[in-house]
Amino acid sequence: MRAGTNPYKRLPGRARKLFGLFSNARQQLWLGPDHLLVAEVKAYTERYKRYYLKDIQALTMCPTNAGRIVNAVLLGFSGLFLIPVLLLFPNRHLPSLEGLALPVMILLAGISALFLLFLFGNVLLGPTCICHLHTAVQAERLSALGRARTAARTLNLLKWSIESAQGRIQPEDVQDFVAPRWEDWPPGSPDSAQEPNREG
Amino acid sequence: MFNFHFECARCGMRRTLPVGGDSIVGACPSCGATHRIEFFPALLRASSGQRAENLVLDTESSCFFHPTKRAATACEGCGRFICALCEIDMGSQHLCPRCVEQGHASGTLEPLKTEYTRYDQIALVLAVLPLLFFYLTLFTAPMAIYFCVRHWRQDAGVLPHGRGAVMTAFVFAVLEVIGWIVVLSWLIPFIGGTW
Ligand SMILES: [Zn+2]
Ligand SMILES: [Zn+2]
Ligand SMILES: [Zn+2]
Repeated sequence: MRAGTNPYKRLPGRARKLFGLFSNARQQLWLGPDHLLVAEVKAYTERYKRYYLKDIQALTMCPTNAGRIVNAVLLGFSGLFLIPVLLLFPNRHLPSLEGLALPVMILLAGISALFLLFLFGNVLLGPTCICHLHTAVQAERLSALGRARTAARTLNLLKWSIESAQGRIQPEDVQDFVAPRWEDWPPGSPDSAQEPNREG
Repeated sequence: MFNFHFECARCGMRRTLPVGGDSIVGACPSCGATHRIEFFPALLRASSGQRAENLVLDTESSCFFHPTKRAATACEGCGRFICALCEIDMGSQHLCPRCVEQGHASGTLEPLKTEYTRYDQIALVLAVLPLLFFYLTLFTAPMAIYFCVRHWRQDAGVLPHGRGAVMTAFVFAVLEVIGWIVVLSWLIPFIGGTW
């Protein structure tokens, strides 16, 4: 094994595609001296893709509702298991429920609390998003950056590294394009009049 | 005018977006999803394709692989003169196609390594998990030691992996083996009584 001279630095981001429900694959982002290494970690193997900083054309980030939908689903399940407890509790002394009611209520309340716990965790992790890295020939989904807070931090780090490798786009590079505005997309969509959410 | 081929991450709508600065924040015209996009100068590079120059004088050095093309640089692996077409940029090194091929075949060229097996993790699972059913460790402890050795002997991975997993696995597996040796040496006289 090599001594502690490894050039890679792990970037923040440990989100999983679809919250890891359907696959054990994890993505890790590692920053090397001149490239970003995207590692797909699956059980006991790691597969690497390298994106040289000088080839990266764009980084995109789009907030999604996935986190809010999951919150609603978890709240729903939690309620679903809590409702029978609330119905059973006042009738727990009925002879027909004697002996059975208490363990069942504890079980249901426990499951309900478990869903609440997941809900709490998901709220703590914050809003969700989708990020992509673009080169001349491909767009890679950065599924590790599934949470907006972490994504913003990692994308800033990446932006800084890419700009130290390539420089920045200067106004004179794009001067034949007078006002860089999102509204200048070619018209054609009926919704294109929507108020854009622009940063000052 | 430079264009970015935008695809909405939510609704999949594709648009060609003119690039007019180093970043843009806006809503997808089709679904309204907000996007933040950072652009980099690589987008403005019109064409990254290299063109090999023909030899002008016969006193000029020529490419090892293309005798009629002018040498642009020397391969950092074997030192042969190569033209712009043959030069392969491996990030930190500029190599000729032959050196890249050899490096790929022998696995010595780090930028071409695309896979790594975590034998240390396999060893850890084999050493620790079967403790729940202790008799299984008779078989899994030697396997764990095998994977520890295999992990130790393989090339260092591309990414930094701590030694925690392989050390833990090794210690557990060795203790399990010692345990079995003690138990078996105590049992064998009873079994071997009829020998
Ligand atoms: Zn859209
Ligand atoms: Zn060479
Ligand atoms: Zn050549």
